Amino acid sequence: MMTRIEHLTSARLHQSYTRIRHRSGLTVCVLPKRAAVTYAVLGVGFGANDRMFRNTSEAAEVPLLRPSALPEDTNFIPAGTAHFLEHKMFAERDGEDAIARFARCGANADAYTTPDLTAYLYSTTEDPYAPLEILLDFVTHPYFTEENVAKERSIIAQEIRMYDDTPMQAGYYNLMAALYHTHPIRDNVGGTEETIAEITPELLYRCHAAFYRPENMVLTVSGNVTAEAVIAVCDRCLPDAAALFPTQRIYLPEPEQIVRPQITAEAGAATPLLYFGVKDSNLSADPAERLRYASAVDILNDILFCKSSPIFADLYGRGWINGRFGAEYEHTETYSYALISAETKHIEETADAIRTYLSDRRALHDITQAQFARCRRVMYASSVTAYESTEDMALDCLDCTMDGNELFASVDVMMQITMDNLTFALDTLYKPECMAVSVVTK
Amino acid sequence: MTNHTCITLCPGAELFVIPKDTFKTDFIMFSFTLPLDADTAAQYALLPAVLCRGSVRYPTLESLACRLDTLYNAGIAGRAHKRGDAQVVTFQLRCLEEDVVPPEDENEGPLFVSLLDTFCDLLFSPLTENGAFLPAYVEGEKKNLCEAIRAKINNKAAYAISRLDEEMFAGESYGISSRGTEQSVAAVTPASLFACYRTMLARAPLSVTYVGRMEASAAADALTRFVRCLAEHRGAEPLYCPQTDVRRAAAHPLHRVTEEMDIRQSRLCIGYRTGMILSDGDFYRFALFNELLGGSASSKLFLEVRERRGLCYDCASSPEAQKGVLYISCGISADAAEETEDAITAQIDAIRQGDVTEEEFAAAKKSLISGYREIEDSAAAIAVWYENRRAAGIATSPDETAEQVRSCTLQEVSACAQGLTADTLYFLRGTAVTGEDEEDYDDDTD
Repeated sequence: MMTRIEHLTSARLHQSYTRIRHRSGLTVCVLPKRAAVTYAVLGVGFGANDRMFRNTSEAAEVPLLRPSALPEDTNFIPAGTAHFLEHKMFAERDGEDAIARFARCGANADAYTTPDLTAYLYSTTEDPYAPLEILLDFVTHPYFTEENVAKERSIIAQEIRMYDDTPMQAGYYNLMAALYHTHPIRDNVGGTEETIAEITPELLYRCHAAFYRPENMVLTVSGNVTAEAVIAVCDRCLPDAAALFPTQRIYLPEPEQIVRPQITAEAGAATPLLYFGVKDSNLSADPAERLRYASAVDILNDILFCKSSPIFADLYGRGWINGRFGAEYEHTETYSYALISAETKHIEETADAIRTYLSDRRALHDITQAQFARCRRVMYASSVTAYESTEDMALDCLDCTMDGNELFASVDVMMQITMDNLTFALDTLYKPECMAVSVVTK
Repeated sequence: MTNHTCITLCPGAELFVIPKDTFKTDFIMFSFTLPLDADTAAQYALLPAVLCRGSVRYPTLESLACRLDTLYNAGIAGRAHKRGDAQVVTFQLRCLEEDVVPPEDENEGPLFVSLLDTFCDLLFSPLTENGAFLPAYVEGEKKNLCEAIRAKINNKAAYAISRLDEEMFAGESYGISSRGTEQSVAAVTPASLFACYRTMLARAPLSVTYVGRMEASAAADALTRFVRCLAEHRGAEPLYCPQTDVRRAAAHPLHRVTEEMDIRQSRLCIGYRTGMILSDGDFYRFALFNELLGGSASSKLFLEVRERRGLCYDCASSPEAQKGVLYISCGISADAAEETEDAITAQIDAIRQGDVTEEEFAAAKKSLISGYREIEDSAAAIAVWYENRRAAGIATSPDETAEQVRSCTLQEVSACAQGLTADTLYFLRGTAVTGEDEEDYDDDTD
């Protein structure tokens, strides 16, 4: 495999970047920018949701498997494994922590795990290439022992307990459990103290071998760098692409129906928290289609739930909600939901008001039409200022690229959304039978 | 820093212009400095929220939000915070820089001027009734502020630190929360709040910081209406000049407070009197000490308490630069308090005795310097940096401070550790069951 290089330019953003398919199989995006901080992030296509996989004997890339019965060669992964692996990747053979290697060359390293991916990153105001070598090295060289895995278990148990003590976490995961029957988005990214007890060095090695492959990773670097120099580091640190059997992810079929319309939990919330969720089953395996639809929903949600929306004015004016109110939307290949959150003592009334608001299609259509022009100014401004920081640039580019899309195209798609796209999103997403509510009280 | 300009706008109001051409936005920050007082803390915490609720020209949240959207997603954010023994009411304004506004769009004039105009509407022409703020708006924001005060408990780490503050600074202004208490919020009336509003405009020193491409004279011109309106309020009363009572050492043996809560993770916080503040001029030494102790993932606390002993997920220290305080905070098992406290003390002692490797020292310097350099990438961070230093009577730039850190010796840092005295230890003991025998949230709900 040869290294392939492509230059992308956006007239809208006055920016350009280079996308490289490195001969190792790694996708690399280099976004040069004059800034104090250079920010690099290496994303691995292994997230908390990846809980079953198998290694196929087919040579080509394989789509997700959604079987009604699981194949015999299915590998099961306990909840919290991707996150555990993220923590443990920093352990090095000589007993040192990779963080210390970064610190020596003046870089701050960190990592995080989401339902969809694991990301390792550093930022530096010094030489940007020395830490890049460390990044590519430590993520591709695992070192797990019974002893270091056991010690990490106690650290992660503390992390799990810390999040268990936040009512927001209870509200979010209860909502996922109300919406989803089988999808692992129901489960805590970090797992539980019970599931992490099942994690062994052997399991971590197996997951590393299956998912931590250059072709399943994306590197984005933004700041004081050139594409040539980044490629040179990749050439030095990464082997040529190896012929491995592809890893196939397995997800159980997920019904369109929700599990239950309401879950209430007592979890010490000072003011009751309302999480109003809408399960969206309009899923697609096509990245471009996902991008177009998700962009339309983002604009729609901004119009319907932002601070200038009629429902915000109404609920805030009544004193039912405070400033902590808003809508967010997640849309991936395997799950999708909209989430409207509020802090309110008027749980039932607020939930009913949101339901009623969303049920009057005609009114929503009129609001959307009336606000679309104003909203375009907001979208324009966000697109112009989106990349003031190298961190935002690198992280957005990572998410976009890992989802199979291209950064500048995503900005263009956003600006090209039409009223028809919004009407489609409105009719597709907000179905009354797909709504569920999670409430957290004292 | 030589290219900064300072212009006196009117008595007690100065404009600082920091030229910067790397951003696509204009940024301006207004900071009113007031004494931090138990009687008025809640009033000044409420004030920015009530002012941003609506004005004569934009009487509803909806109309104001629409106005800001039309100004290309411009922002006006008001809040009150604590700086030493002072309460500072700030408004941060941000909008697109004129060059990137699409020329084909119809606009009434320069965007920055339109945004300042809207800000003047909010600040100087609030909605009133019988010479006071609109009761409905005041009551609404009182409710929101009370909820925000109560919501502190949702974040156990922040809650534990706020309890530490209350215990450690009982009897000192610094112990007053910049949001006030639920009781003091409840006592606010539309009339009392309006009186505080008049007082702020009349007596609070104002510093305005602009970061962007505009020349100093153009920035001052854009503020013409603002200055005219403010001058009308500035009168015979003297300006406030809040001073911070700095106590450079603890006056008593370690004050220990333990409280219990039904949570799974316990929080241990220790507050130290440091004897070092920004206006001393050599605060960077203390900043370096903090970095070495618990400021990053290569610090002594992180490596010893988390990585080597596995006692916690988070263990960090953070310095306060006006009152002279060091906070250490970590999340641990209920039974690990003693071991953690000993480990923390041992790390401070190690620095005191100069037991620091060259590598640790170099890593701490690099990490701190990197933090200073990053400030260049954010207009808000630049403005806040200089605003805090002006308040302390110094003017060093992030680059100059980085140079000072570079030449700092281990002896100087050890000396900082010498001056440290532990004042108060607050332990929030979690009493919830942990481990195998407990149920998930999912199972016992609904």
